Amino acid sequence: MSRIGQHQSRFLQYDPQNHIFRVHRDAYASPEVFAEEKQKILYKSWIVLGHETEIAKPGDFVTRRVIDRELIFNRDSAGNVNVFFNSCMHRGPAVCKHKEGKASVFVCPYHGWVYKNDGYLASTGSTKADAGYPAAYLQRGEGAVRLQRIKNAAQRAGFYFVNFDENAGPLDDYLQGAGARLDRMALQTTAGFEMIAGVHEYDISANYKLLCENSYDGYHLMQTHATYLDYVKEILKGSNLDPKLGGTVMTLGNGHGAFEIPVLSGRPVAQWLPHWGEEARLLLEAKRNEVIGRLGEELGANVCDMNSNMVIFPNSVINDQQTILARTIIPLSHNRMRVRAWTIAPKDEHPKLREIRMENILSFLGPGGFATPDDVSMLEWAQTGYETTNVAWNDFSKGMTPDETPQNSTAVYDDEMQMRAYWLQWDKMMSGD
Amino acid sequence: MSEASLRQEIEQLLYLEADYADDWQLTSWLGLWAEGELLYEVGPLDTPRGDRLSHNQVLYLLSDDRFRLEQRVIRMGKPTAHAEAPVRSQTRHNYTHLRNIAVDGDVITFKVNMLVTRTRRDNEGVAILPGYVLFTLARQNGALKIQRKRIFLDLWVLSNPGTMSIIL
Ligand code: FES
Ligand SMILES: [Fe+2]
Repeated sequence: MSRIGQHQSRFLQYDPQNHIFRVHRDAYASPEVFAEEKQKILYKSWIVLGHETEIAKPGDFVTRRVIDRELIFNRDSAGNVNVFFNSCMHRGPAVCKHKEGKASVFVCPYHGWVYKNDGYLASTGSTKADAGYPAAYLQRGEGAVRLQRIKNAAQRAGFYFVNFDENAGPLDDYLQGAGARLDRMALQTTAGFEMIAGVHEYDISANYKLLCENSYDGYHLMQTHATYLDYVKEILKGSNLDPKLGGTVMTLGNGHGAFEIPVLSGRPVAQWLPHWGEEARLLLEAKRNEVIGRLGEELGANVCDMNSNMVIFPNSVINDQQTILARTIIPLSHNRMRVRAWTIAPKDEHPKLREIRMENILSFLGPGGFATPDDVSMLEWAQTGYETTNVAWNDFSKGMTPDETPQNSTAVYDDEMQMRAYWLQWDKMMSGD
Repeated sequence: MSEASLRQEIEQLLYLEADYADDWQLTSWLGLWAEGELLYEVGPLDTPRGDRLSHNQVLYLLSDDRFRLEQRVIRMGKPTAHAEAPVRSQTRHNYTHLRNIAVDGDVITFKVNMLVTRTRRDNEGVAILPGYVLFTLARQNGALKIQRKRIFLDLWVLSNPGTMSIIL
């Protein structure tokens, strides 16, 4: 008989009374488990696709992979947002080979089928060719040919998500507390956001869940990022800012979680550093006053002073740090992922503050920054440990209490409660049919 | 100075710079840079003609001013720079096809192709990083020094390893 809350499964040792929470390493290192989780989790969850600012105007499109599906994300001429599979309905090739652009039609290169940007087939190449098909193919009623749409696409605070499960529930229900965290990010400006051009795209030889864990792991900062913290001390010289680690982790429901720690290295919304100079100081003071005037002292200060890293179960990471940075993770296999990191910024940002934002991004984030390479090494070495030893379990017991409710609660920033919530959700979905 | 001897002087500097980088002689490498303002960057991965856009307009892989480059070198020298510790990547810088040499007073600009190979002990295979570099050199106290090094890679995705923790 198991005690209340206690739970043992293929993947989990969950024993609150004895302060034990362990996850089996097969969850990271088994190709079979990866195949199973694709079906049970990845194809059944809402996954970040992009941001509304990417398709602001009619005709705008981007092409993108989510999990292992190639998609077109666009706004059609009537202003409606669509997500299509990027595959010709005739015999298969991608109908769009560009990463982004503006198009009223998509033309398949093979036999020349032409699709309007709302997906409907407009021509099979010529009037002569059209005559060889049922008339209904080219009309918008019953029997029409249309690029296959992903039925479940929705947005929250400008972030677009897709869910490949036809029977998925609404996005907002899925997001639970994560939705409010996205709303909070949007409070940085009233002018809306714009996408900064370019992405950081890089591969990591590790299971995708390792990057999720790492993204809101407050515990690793001192050790893994020792050199980055040295750098922070250097840039804070001459300021009265104290680069102390602190803050909270929180669980947000459905396996989502976040940590919130004080800003360490300044940010354009809105905390100044001495080496940015006097002009920046005045601009940041004005930005800060604007935010606090609009949101009140408490919420305003929270928006300006706290970094927040959030993991939206199972594989979307949205960080609100030196910039708002989304890391969408493509799990390539059980032990390899592709990270696609992109960033949005307030549309009305002063050029000087934009400069600061861009500098700040480059010093910390990304594959050439002072922190990410060390994270990547840790993840790759962890994966190697799973694949080259017989050690079976990973430990997530830090800060656990017998009465812990692992959803919608908070703990100190370097606890592992948020990861326990993630894994409980993961295990629950894997235990279903 | 004749074109040929200037070319030779540039090549000598490039070979020395490549050797310092490949030997992880970071302080010596930094010593090849000019005094005053400098710029060391690796441009955006997925942006054609990325060299026409500045790091304020598009997401570069890295863009260091003097302060950050010095900090980068300090960081890379530490045993706690985990990505390159305890065993560092072995790199080999190759520069070819030196062209577009232009002289304006004490400032010299040119373009050169670059091929860097990178081998890591914990990562099978060799990463190949092809690209070109836009250099700006300055003659200071008679010696040629690097003022700007802007690298643009022919890559869409950074892979094997997916990080830039070496001197490119
Ligand atoms: S396969 Fe696309 S037109 Fe034939
Ligand atoms: Fe980290």
